Amino acid sequence: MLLEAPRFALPETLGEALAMRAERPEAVVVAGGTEVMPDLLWRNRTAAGFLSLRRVAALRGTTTDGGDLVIGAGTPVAALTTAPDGGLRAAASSLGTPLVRTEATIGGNVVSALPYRNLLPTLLASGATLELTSSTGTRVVPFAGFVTAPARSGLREGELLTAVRLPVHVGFADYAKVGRRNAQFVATASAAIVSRDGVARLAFGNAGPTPLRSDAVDAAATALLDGRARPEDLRAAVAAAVDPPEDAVASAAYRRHALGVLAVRLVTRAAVDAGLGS
Amino acid sequence: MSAVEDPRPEVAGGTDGPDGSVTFGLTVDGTAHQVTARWNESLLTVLRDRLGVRGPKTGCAHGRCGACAVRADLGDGAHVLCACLVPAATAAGGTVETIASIGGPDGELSDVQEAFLAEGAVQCGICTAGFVTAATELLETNPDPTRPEIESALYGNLCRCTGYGRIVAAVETAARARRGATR
Amino acid sequence: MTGAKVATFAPDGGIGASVRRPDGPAKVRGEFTYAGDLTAEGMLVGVTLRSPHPHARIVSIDTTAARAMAGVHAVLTCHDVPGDVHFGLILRDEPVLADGVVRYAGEPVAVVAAVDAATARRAARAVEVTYEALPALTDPQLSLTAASVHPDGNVYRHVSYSCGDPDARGVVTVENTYRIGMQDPAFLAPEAGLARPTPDGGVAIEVATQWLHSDQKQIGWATGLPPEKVHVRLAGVGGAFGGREDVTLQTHACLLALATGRPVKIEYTREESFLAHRQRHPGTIWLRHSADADGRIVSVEGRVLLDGGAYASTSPVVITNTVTLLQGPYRVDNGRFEGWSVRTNNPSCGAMRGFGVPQAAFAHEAQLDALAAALDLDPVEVRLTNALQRGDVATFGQRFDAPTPVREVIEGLRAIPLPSGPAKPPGGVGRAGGAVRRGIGYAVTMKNLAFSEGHVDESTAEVSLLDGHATVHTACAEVGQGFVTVAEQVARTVLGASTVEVVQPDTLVASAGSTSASRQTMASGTAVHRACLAVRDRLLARVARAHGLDAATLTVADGVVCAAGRPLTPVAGAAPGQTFRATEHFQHPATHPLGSSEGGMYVAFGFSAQRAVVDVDVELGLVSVVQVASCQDVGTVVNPTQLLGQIEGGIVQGMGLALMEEVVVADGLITNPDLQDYLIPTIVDAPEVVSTYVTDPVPGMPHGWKGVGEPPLCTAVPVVAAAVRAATGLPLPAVPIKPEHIALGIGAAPTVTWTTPRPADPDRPRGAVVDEEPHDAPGTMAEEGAPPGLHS
Repeated sequence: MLLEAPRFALPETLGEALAMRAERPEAVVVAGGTEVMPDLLWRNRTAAGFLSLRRVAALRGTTTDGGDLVIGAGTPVAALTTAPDGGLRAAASSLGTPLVRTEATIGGNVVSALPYRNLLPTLLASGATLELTSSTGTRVVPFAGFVTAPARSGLREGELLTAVRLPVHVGFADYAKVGRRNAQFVATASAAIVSRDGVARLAFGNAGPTPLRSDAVDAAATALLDGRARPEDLRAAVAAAVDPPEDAVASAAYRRHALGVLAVRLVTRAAVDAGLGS
Repeated sequence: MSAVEDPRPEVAGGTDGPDGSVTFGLTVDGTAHQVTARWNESLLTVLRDRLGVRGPKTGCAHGRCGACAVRADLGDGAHVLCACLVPAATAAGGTVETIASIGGPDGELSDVQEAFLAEGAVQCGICTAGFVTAATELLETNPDPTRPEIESALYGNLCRCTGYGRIVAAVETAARARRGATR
Repeated sequence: MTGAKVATFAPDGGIGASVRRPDGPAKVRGEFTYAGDLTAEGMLVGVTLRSPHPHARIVSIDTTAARAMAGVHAVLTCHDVPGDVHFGLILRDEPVLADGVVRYAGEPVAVVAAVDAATARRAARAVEVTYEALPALTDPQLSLTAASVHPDGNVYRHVSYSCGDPDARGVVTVENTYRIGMQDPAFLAPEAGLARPTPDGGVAIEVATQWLHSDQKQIGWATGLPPEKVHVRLAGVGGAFGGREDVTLQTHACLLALATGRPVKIEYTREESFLAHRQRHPGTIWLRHSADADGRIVSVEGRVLLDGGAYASTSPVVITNTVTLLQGPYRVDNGRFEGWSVRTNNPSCGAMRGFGVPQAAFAHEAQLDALAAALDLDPVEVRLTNALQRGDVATFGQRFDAPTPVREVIEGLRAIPLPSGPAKPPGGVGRAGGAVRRGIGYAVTMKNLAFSEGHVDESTAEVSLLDGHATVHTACAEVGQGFVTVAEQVARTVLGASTVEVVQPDTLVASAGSTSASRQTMASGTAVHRACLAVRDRLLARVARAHGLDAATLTVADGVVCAAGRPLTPVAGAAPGQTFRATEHFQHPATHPLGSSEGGMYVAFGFSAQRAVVDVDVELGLVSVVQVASCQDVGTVVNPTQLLGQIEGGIVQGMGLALMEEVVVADGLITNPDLQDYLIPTIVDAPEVVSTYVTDPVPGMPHGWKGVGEPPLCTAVPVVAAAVRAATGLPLPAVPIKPEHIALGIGAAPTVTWTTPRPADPDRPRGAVVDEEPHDAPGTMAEEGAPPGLHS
């Protein structure tokens, strides 16, 4: 334990972190601080203390395990800009700003559980799984379904997200988002694709209260990928599947439209990558 | 977002009693300090209000403007970050280099600082320390950046006065100067 | 380019050279002291309690608990204001602290001084305020007929005038309703200041501000202190753009300092900054142009409604600017122009760079393009056809009797090559991809420079010289624009000084007026120039006596005293140990109210033409501004590098309003008071800027200079919109343009009507005819002439 004060804990090992998590359930878990610190200004006025994971080296770093990329939850997003996965690379590279990415972590992005967070569509499209660890052990859950509502997740009391796993697939993966300016923007709407062996999977951000995917959309995307359907068919499937918000940034109608456009463009990129089209 | 209630948690000054405070060591611009701060205080607040290190600026306190950019090593290598986003105590035992560490000890300007002056990249200057810090980091890692690479590295730093044209020119000038100097 | 040239030599460090700014080294080292960096021994921290309601009666305020808290030194409400509780730049309609009623969300209700910020904030939260919420007036259209939300009424100013025969018609009319969103100055250093009581019972404040003497005056009203006991000193300013022209924390800090007997520092959060300072007026402009087949404008009719928010600030002057400049830089002989700035319970609006003209420019340039399209004419040719020339008369009656290089700035664009090579993709880092359409647009604007309609535009400078070192003292607020450099350049050129120190501005010298209205080079620069001339003449008189020469034969050139043109002695050594001083005042010739027969409304005008090239991902509505070419009428290029910085900075701010910047107010509440949700351009968004100038020296101004700061912003708003229209074929009558406007084709096109030409009745009077019976509570914009869609 590097530091321990009544309202602040700075563990060095995962064991210390888990023990603290159990001991101080009311403490806000903070890694890079890039989400939590602004939250203290905007949303979370009642925080009673911090449990910082910043110095737990075991949570940082990427390894491979079988066919999976295993990313420590404390891995900075900046490190993911050179990840072997194209979707992760693209999503990491457009997250926040260069100054934010050095401290923002993949774990923080996931646990924020907000539908517009950059990395989440890629995790959903990839079929990522999450390692959730408490002092009693580790469970692995699919990322799909982990976010239950905006800022609500399946993280249980006493648990920490310790790693994110996604298949190291051979194929094409990408992520794109639109916003109100050309850099440093929260996604108005976003989309991720994973395409392998002629099968496409899409996932969307800010398309509803949680990161969203749909079998019907994937079927249309796959059909578009191998020329059995038209772009309009995919756009229609997307429009039917999403339920995007309406707010001062953009209308629901625009988001619905943009999500369909992004879906078609990502499938087109996958086709080009596979030599299927131009 | 609520309109008007001052939303900031208790920050600068005071500790809300021993219960809310944290004490830790921090090296800033080569000087070791023992800091006592509130548990949720940012590194920026510690630098400016407790240590009197006022080179990094408070522009937004939510990580969007980059005026608070400093170079810090929190145990896993030095990199440039927004000091307003770092809970100060998480930097315990770490080292921080602010704008004061750029340039020589007797006030000599670095090549980046010199270029900012030569190219008119400074107007009100509130963003300058952050930009110089981020641009210096860029040139350390990429001595011959293209314009898109310059923009990619610096879009976390906002400027309201210059429109960025002179800032890009300054970074290009500094890069050229470095390449010339090393030839 | 055109006109007589001033001396083209650029002496080292003098006028015309790209002299480095003197505060630059401190700024790049992070050692420059901004207001937020100020600190003092025994300093208390001041915090402001603000209304959460846009409109409410204050039933009661109980400060007992707050005052009883340990570490709290003062809690003040309006009852504690010793002097007059009302302040304001033009109308004194605003209370220092809310007086029985709050009229906007964020209005200051109480201020607290305590030993530290945490204690002060805790105390502020302990102030018990009972509000009775009242219906909030948030639609400016309703202000005109709704019950007054202030004893002074709901109309700040109604402007109405006509010229010639407004019913004259050409072969075509185009009309539309244009909307401009609320832009925020978004300077990057939040408000801050440090006040301390002085031994004489007065108060001194160091503050980031634009207008020291206006602050001094308003602090004096509230404290009851005479000006000599209110000392204002400029602290380092981190940008302003109009947002620091109004008093925000100045009076509060001084009241707390006087109440506690201690120094008191106030520093706003970013959110608080949005709530506390004034934004640019959002507006609705209905405009109808009629033109002949060759594109010549026959008549213009316009109506403007600006939402001034809860308190007047400079709303009466802003609306006048918007309405009178609706004609644009074009010859308009026949017209009818009307506008209102009105009170609502929305955030109070005031000055922002451009001061009402960006709104007018957005509308009139859209109209010119609509005329060109209807008549199948080239948009540049249409502008050249109508371009004002020297000797023309404005719709508001003033003759353009100084160089009026409108044609010249338009022609100046032609020489600038279009961009070549790959451009940044629309959508930037989001990598949205997609097919891109390129559009090219043009815009030309006229901006009035300096104060107007009788507001005295003046400044004073004290200059001293000792052994070649000049000291310059004015009250001109340096906010980043580079006045300190200009002052040095003047002293070197005129006085031959080797070194110059521009001392920190304060109220120990007479007023320099506001740093706004593109006025300070003309006002304070000229005052410095005159003071330098006076000092120079005293120096030369001394040298003449010492050398037995006729002073009339002595001059200063390149830092050297010359006799009959031959070098005699360097200025630095000309009179060793002798100090020469002078204080000189400058004031522009008087200006007059709209409709006056005694003279014009405005001191001067600046003209600016721009061409924008944009790439648009039409399917997603994403825009990348590739290049903005600018040709601006600047009189003289004082400092090429600084001038380019002002042009680039103004262009990017205008682009921001065109594409991304809007304070979104819902039910009187600002929904995006932070830099994540209020978007200003990043370095990725910034275009390539190519900047050229027309230098036609302004008669009567030393070195022929004129103001340059506002025109680039005024022109950038319409030029970016014009380029996006060209790329998309969409009318886009509102800014900021949102992606959905493009992707979903939102926005009504101008109504084009082919008419039977009806020439102007020659018996109608030329010159502005002011509506003799201004209606303080007229009908809504849906009167005759305004299309019904105005309310949406």
